[in-house]
Formats: sequence, structure tokens, C-alpha cells
Amino acid sequence: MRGVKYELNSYSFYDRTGIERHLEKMAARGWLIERLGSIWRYRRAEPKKLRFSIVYYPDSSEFAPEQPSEGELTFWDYCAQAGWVRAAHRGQMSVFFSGDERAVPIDTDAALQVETLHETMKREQITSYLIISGIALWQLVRVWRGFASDLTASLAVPSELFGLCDWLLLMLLSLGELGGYYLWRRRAKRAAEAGQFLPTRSHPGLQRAILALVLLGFGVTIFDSSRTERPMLLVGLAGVLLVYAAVQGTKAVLKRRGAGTGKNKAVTYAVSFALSFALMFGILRAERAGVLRPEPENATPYVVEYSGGDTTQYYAYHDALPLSVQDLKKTDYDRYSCELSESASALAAQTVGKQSMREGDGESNALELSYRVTDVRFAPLFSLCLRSELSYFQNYTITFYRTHHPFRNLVFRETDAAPWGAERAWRLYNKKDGDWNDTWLLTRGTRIVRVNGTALSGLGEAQMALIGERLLSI
Amino acid sequence: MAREKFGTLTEQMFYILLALRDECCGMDVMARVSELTGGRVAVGPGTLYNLLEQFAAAGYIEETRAEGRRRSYRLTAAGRTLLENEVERLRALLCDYERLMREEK
Repeated sequence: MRGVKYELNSYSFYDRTGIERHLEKMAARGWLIERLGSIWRYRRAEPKKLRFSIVYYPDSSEFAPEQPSEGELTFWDYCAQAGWVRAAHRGQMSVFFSGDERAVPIDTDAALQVETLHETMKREQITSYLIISGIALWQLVRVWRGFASDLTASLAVPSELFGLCDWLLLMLLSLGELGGYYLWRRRAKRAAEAGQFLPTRSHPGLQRAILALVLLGFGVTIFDSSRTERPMLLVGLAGVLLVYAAVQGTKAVLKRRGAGTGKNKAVTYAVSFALSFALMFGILRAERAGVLRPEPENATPYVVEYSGGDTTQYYAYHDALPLSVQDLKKTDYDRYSCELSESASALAAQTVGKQSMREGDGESNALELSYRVTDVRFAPLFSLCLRSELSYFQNYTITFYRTHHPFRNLVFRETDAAPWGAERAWRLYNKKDGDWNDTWLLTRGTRIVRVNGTALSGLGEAQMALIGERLLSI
Repeated sequence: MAREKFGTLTEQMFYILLALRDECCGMDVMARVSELTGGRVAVGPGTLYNLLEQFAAAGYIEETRAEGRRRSYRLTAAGRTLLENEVERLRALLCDYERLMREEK
């Protein structure tokens, strides 16, 4: 029979009542708590009906030395005198139990209990929740900006969708914790005025579900990443885990050595910042050096030497394209790079085709062609996706010192859809110069096609029909 | 701030101060309060620890002796005044009650 049991802690820090009830149930089943933290550890014990009490000691800290302060030891002595046995302790929280049903509760003054818990929450927990909410909000804004500027491309990438959900859930989770706590505190203070204790409440099932969703999101992000992105994501993930382990290790070593709370906090934060910076710097350097980027499949590398003597490596792709320049026009250029990439989620699927000259061959003036075919799988999103595609060039931004809109004068104007075999068609128009651009947007059913390139200049109806046939037929 | 905080005393605050009119070890206050009240008022160890800290910080009690972690405390003059003020307040309540109830009869 196993002597030890581990359990993921999904109770709110302040949920004294929930934790006590849970530990009582576990003790009745023969499991006695012996270690707190993100993962709780129980040891096998004789099944007993025990009373548990969660107490908070505001002056302690996650960063406090392993040897508790004199004050905390005195507090524990008082509890022992009253018949309470200490089962586990971590940071500001301690767990006591008693087999005596008549033992005087550790806290007998409701107002004082609310005040002590608030002192505890103020020291570390509230700041942590605020930091997590801030980071989640920042990431959420970052991901959301991607959706706002190019909705269809974002919808077709599962990792983008999960990223949006993950950061939103994380933000809601930490704000929910804060809101839940303050709501309880307001009601608990009122109850305490009447001398009554207000039980705390959290939602461990919901927290576990949210955590599972967040982890699933990260899993999907890695699974869904392209062959070229995956090594960097995996190295990044391993780096984050290593940094986490190193930070936790630093904290634990300093605690064992009896370093003061302030010193431990300062050193641990410094190590955390230094390692995070080193990790980011290392990944960026490796990415720039191409270490983390595997050779793409079905592509030939080539090197271009620029006037200053600098050289850069590029790839010429040899993918089979549904529509090529040669289908539309005659060309003598035979060094094309033909790249086809696909992405799909439950909401949208996207295929991007690009036939372009190799870098450095600009003088050849060869015709080029590129297109993006989007199938909106979740039909109610179609009009939103179409609106996003129609305003793609106006939404296109470059942020360098400040945000620029280099293509703000380019607008799609509706044109005759019949030659394309499309339901609707638009052509890009430059409002400033009054010129038509060789970029079209076509729709049929829930498919949206954007096609552009020099190969489209002076298109005849037969060529338009061919493009429609190749890119619009599902 | 402290005076405002202890403007009126809870039963537990009152009896802890009363128990400390003679020097007493912090840990023994729980038992002494129970004795003083015939078991009617019980002070939990967490509440006792926090109140002793707050009373000491406000100057209502003072530490008199420390043997290891066993610390003894005693009421100060300020603590005695606080206790007396509370008794006056309670006495006034009682007087009002008795006068009004007598008038009713």
C-alpha cells in the first residue's frame, strides 16, 4: 500500500474553510497532510475524525528562512498548548489539526481573523495576483492586436486561438481570485461586526478545469507549430522550465542557509531577471544564427552576396502550387521559388501560395504571383472575416518608434464578379493616386480569396475564369 | 489609531487585559481567562497571540520576563486606564438599562 499521496492544490490561498473541510475528508480516508505548496503531499495514517485549522502568519514569507522566527515559534507553542498539532507549514500558511472535538478554535475573534488574513494577503498574494493579471492583460492585448489586424490568418492558427483563450483565462482566474477575496472580505467584515465567522469559498473544480484548458492550449501551440517553429518553442519551453527550477532552487538554498527574507527576495528576483534575460538573449542569438531553424523540406538553399560583402542564406521552395504564373502568362524565368503553406483550425483554414523570384534576381523583372485562400469553417464569422480582409491594407501597421499605416490609401472597391465565377469581387484602389492595383478579393460561399502579383496585370476574362476555377472551387 | 481600535473592548480583549493585572505567561492567559469566566469565555491561541502583540504594540501591556519563548506580560498604567474606561462604559450601559426598566415597572 502506498504510503504517500500527492494532490494538485487548486484551492484559493484564502479559502480557509474549503481547505479545512478537504483535509478533514482526507484524514477520515487515512491521509494526513504533511507538505503544502502547489502540490500537496499526504502520508498514510490511521483514518481518523480530525478537526483542521488553517492559520495565517503575516510576518512570514515564501522567502523566509526554513527555521521559523521566534514569533512564529511562539505562536505555534500557543497552538500546541491549546491542543493543536502542526501538520504542515509553508510561507505564511500553517495547517494544524486536533483530535479533540472540544478544543478551543485557534481563532475565536472573527474581526481579528479577517484583519490577520488581510495583512497576510497584502504582503504577497495580492501583489502576485496583480502581476499575473498585468502580464496576462499585456499578452492578451498583444494577441488581440494580431486578430484585429489580420483576423483570418489568426483564426486559422489553433495556437493563436488557444493563446487568446489561455491569456484570457489566466487573467480571469487571477482577477477572479482577487475579486472573490475582496467580496468575501467585505461580507466577512460585516459578519464579524455581529461576532460571526463567514466561511470562505473557492471553486477548486473550476480552477482545475481552467488550468487543464491552459495546459491544453500550450500543448496545442507546440503540437500545432510548424516544423521550423517547433525547435524554438521547445527550447523556449525547456528554458522557461530551467529558469523556474533555478529560481526555485536559489530560493530553497537561501532558505536552508537562513538568509533573511529581504536578502532572499532580492537575490531570487535578481537571479530570475538575469536568467530570463539570458534565455531571451540566447534564443534570439540562436534564432538569428539559424541554429534553431531546421532546413525546410522541399527547398534549396542559396546564398546572396550584397554590395557590402555581407551574405545571407535564403531558400527556393519547390512546392506544387494550385495556380502558377505559367498558367497565366509566358515567362522565361526558371528559378522561381514556389512556396505553399497551410494552416487550419476548427474556425478557419488558410492556404497561402507564393511564386516569386529568388532574392538578388530583381533585375530579371520576372512576373510574380501570390494568393491566400481562406475557408471560414464557422459560417457566422464569415462577414467579420470578409470585413477584416477588405480592410487588410488599412489595418496593416508597422511599429517603429510609432505606429505607421503605410497602405492606408489602399481600399478595396467592388467590381464585376462574373468573369471570376465569384459571388462578389473587389479590386484594390489607391485613393491618393487614383490607380488600380493588381490585387483582387474574391468570395464564393464561405471562401475568401486574395490574389495579387505582377502576373495579374492586364488580365483577360479567360485568365480570370481560370483563377476563379483554381482558387474558388472547393 | 490604537486607541480608536480599542475604543470598545470585546469580551476576549477585556478578559485578557483583566488576566494580566498580575504578571502572567502569555501561554497561560488562555487558561486564566477560562478560570476567570468559569469557562464561559474561551480565547483561541491565534486570537490570544495576535491580541498580545497588538496590546504590547499599543502600550497596554508590557513584557516582564522571557524564558526562552515563554514570555510574561503585565498590564501597564495605560492598559489599566483602558480597562477602567471600558468598565465605566459597561457600568453606564447597565445603569441606563436598570433605570429604564425600573421606570417601565
